[in-house]
Amino acid sequence: MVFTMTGKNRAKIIAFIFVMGVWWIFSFIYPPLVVPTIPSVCMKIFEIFTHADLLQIIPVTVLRLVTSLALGTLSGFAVGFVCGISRILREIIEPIIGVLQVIPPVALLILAILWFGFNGKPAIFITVMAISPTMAISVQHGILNIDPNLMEMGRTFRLKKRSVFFNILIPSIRPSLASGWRISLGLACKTIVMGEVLTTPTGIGGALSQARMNLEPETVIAWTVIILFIFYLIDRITKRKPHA
Amino acid sequence: MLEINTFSKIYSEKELRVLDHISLQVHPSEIVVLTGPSGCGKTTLLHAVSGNIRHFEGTIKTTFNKIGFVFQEDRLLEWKTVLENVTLVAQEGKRDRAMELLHEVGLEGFENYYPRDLSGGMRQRCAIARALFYGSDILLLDEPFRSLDHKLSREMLKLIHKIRTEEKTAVLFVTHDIDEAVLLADRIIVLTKQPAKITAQLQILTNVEKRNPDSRKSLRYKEQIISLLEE
Repeated sequence: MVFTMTGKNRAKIIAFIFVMGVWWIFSFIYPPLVVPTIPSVCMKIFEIFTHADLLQIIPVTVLRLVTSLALGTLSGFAVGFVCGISRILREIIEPIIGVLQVIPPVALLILAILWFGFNGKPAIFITVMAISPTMAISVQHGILNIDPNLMEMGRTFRLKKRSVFFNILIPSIRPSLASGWRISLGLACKTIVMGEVLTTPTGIGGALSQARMNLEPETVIAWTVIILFIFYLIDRITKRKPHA
Repeated sequence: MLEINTFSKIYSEKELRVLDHISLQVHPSEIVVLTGPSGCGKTTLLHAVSGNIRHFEGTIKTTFNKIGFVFQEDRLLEWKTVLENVTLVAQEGKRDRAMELLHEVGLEGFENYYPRDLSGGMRQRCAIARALFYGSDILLLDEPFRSLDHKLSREMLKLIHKIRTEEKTAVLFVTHDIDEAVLLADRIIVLTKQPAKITAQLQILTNVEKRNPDSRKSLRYKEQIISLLEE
């Protein structure tokens, strides 16, 4: 176990050094306007974390992200659950999920602007619409793959529905839930910022828009690093250790 | 009492008739052993009694309220410890009773282990403890000692007898092991090959305590069963 962890950490460090090395080389080849230097990006991150007016941008996006994740995962779970337990509902809902997966988020964004106006709501809306089908498919897949012998055991010993739900169903679909959640989290981080860039001057997306207009690539990369950090943080908080 | 009348089961997708007009009774605190060729439908009958198979011909009537089951596979929850797997099936905690049963099946000290850390035999003993903990009026056992060694399977037979005596639990037990059948049963029901019918019912009159698989009486029973199975 210790060797595996060390190996994993070593691989991460090598990957990090590789990316930094490539970036460093490119920053020598290209001008700072195309590829900003590593120190300039570090300075920008430092500036964001030390200036209250810049720092307060982060919670705006985090709040939208958390709201989207809560709504998207809950609605996705509910839809996936009913699709998993009812064949008729699955046949009705599955094509709708398929359509939702194909619709470009930008098309939905335009409609959302018409419905909600230029504020954070369109970004939340398209993020929910992006992650909900992913979660629904994951939950449905998990439920359809539950070991029928375990469900039969539950029925034989007359377990209450609540007990079957928490002791058999949820633990059985946990691997599908975990992969659905991880994909949704990545998707949500990308979509929320894209939505903000196109619909609102607030949040990290708004700051990226501002940086684009001011031709500040180091600011763009600094905010991107912060988004990565937010992803990593939420991922770590929500990652549950497998049973001992 | 459990009363099965003219029970037949046809698997319509394969047009396969596995059991044909089976009628039998199991009385309170009676141990009935079902034996017969592989695939003759013994497991199907147990699943019909437990309510897991609902479509069949004939009737199954029972006054037994709680039906416990030791399946062929252990069907343990991998994410629960041994103790949690056992206590899962009862509403109230009764941890002491669960610990006592784990001791009886030889899993004392393993209560906090996960099923993946146990051998096949230990997993099966955990499943047996779970079924006993359920406190059933009738216990259905489907080849429960397949993965146990000789000594352990004899100990488990004694435990089944003990539960029957102390808790007046009826037992319907499926096995291919004729020694096991002779040592355990009050009555042995021998089934024919598919579509299975009851070919004979043997009442074992020897006191359980005095049974020996190598005694003359036991050998006679065994010869009788073998000849019935070979017909």
